[in-house]
Amino acid sequence: MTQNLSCEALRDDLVALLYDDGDRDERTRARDHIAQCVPCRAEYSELKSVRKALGGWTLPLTPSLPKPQTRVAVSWFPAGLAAAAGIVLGIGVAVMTLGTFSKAPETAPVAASAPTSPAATAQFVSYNEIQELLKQQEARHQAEITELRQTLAQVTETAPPSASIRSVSAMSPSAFESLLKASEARQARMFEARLAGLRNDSELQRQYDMAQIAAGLAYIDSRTGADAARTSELMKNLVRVTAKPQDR
Amino acid sequence: MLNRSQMSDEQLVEAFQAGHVAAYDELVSRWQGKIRGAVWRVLGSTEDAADITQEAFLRAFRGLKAFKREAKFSSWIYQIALNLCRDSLRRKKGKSYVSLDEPEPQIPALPSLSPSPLELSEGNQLAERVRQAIQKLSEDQREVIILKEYEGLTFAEIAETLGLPTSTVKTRLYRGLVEMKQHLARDGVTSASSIHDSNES
Repeated sequence: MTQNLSCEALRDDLVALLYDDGDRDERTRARDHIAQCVPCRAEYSELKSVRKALGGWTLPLTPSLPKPQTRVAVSWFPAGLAAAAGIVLGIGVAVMTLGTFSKAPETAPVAASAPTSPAATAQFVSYNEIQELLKQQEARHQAEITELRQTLAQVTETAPPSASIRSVSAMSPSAFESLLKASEARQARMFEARLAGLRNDSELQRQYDMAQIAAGLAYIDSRTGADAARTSELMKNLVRVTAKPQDR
Repeated sequence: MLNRSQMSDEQLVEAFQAGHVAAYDELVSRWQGKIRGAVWRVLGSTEDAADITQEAFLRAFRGLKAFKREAKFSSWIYQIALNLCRDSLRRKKGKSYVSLDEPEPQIPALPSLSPSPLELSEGNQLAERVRQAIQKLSEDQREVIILKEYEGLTFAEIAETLGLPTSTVKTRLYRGLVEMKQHLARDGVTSASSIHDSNES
């Protein structure tokens, strides 16, 4: 395609005309230009056909791209983002709670499966209101935790003491001291045994290394001797071959 | 007080920043479909699109308090999503390296570049060819074409989203379209003769 410099310079204008976007002047310039420039007119047509082809690529239908949710789409948040999603969910639940139970917020149930429809049109709530709700929820939780702790304490009190568990604080000082000594003696014995094992291992390793060195030296000696004998034999042969017949 | 659906993005952002957290609901429902579509087109993967859209909206939620309303919310959320797309593509490129120690290195399979019989059926064939051609474009050109063709953003909005001058946006668009023309012509999808001068406006 043969295009001169002015055609190159008008490419942006051509794009503006193609998309009917940008300055009006740009589009006018491009329109005037393609009216008289055959290559640019052809290119403009080609680009329009490309745009037409691009329009053939549509998004896949559901379920690949489901309809957007009316609320923050907590359901499709990955597990790794659960904490942040929890915040969003908590806020959402708090908003629902206000909208649905505005007259008695302290009795509002907090559940992930709360209904969504009427709350969706509820008016905005401030952070302070949400904070208040969260405080109430926290207080309820604290009360439940206290109750559970009390129940647990009762269960522990009524349970029979375990024979295998003895409290150190209940022992006499002499018994504690004897236990301590026994423990130290046990640890000393273990340490001695381990040290003896290490010593044994070290001696065995030393003997093995010495044997290896001796074998290596013997090999070198034998090789050296053999090489010397072989060299001597070769020299003798060489002398014999190169000697004059009368000297042989 | 205005119903949330009647409020502009700017008003919703303002409401959110004033403490009305529920305003974010409307922003999400208003934009998640568009963002997900754009991400899907850039990446060519539905699963990745879902994950990245989630991540984009989570990041936006975290950052919306500090969002300066000089830019449009839509440009900002597109920007976040496209940055995540670029990261994802970069990670995938990194994963495509093959160890020299492997006795028989396997060529990583390109995701569904070979269309299935269903995809090649009437109606899907063009879409598949276009998808393939777009995947062959450079990242820069692909983003601009997707934002313009499928998201309907203006040059100025694209420039704001990508942080580029408008002239660069138009140049990338032009070059992308020219490359698309070549790829599609190779596949026999379009030719210069398919559109007549009579269609011009």
